[in-house]
Amino acid sequence: MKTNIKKSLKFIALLVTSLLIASASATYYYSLNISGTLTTFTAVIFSPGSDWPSGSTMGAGNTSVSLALKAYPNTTLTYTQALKVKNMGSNAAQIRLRNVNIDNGTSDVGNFTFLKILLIDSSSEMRGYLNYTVSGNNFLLSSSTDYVSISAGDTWSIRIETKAKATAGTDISVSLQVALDVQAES
Amino acid sequence: MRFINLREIKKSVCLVLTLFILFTTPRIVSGSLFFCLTSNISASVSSPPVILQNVTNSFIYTNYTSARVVVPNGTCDLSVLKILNQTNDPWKLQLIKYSDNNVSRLTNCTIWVHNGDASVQIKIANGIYSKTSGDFYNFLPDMDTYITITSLTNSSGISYIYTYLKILKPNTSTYFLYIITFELT
Repeated sequence: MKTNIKKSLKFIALLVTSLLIASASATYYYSLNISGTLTTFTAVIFSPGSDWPSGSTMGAGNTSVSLALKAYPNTTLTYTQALKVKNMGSNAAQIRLRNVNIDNGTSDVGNFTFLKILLIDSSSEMRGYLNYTVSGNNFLLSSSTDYVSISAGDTWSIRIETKAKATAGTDISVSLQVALDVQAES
Repeated sequence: MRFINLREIKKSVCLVLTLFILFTTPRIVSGSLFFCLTSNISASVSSPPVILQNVTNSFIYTNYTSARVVVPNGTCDLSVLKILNQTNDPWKLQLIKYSDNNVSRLTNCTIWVHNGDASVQIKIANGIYSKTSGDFYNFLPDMDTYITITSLTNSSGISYIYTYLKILKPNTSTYFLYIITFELT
């Protein structure tokens, strides 16, 4: 019987390949089917700072907050540490400030000069900001919102500055929503 | 050799690479969490808790939160501004120089706050500062406080000292700043 060596070798190669692919697939699916326990863990949280404004409230799990700020006419009011930002995780996390929404176009807005929200690290360096200045009845936003790294266990703060116009009346208010985006390793 | 040709080598390499990726990729499992913390902020304009009032030669601006004080040469221990606490809360006061102009002609300029005890906040002797800010001064409810000044010059002209009156909430780092400009003739 004449043996075709070339065909035999091809067949063997095909067989080996099939086996390898099969075992590789098995490994692959095995990995996907690892079972585990899912626990809720928030790496970065808020906590009240030493200048926590009265009337403010902290949400459940310290992941949301409602801040009640004041502004005085023709003077800059500074909450040096309105809020703390704590990284409770065991890894560094990336965080940034982000504007979500702000009241605009109302006459109340025209009574303000600016609102500034600044992210300050544990060395008192400014690492990001949202600066709302007023033109007419509108807030104009300038910002620095790149992600920055907060080390595990580190505590930063959020500083807020407000100023109303010299002629501002009382009982005038505006509201805004700001997010602190977090990217953390699981 | 018939078996070893370039095409076969390419196929083999592709096969090895494919298998390598299949074996290694599932084992490199990593992930990251993305979430955002939300902050709802409301800011409301309130009446200033502390106001300025003219005593002598002071011009008070709207809402009583800034002032310009004109001080003639030869002024001695003159109270120019009164600081009134509009709340029942205690505060701390501090005067801070943030800019100036033509102060070399001032042979003696001393600015202090007092409501009994005096606290020197800014002092210039022969055009040189020996104090650009003072210690925090306790400002209790129902305890009106005064800003008093002495000024002597060695030549004609006008000097300016631009200051912030820092008003600090005790035991916090919450503060606000009033601009007070001293115009020394």
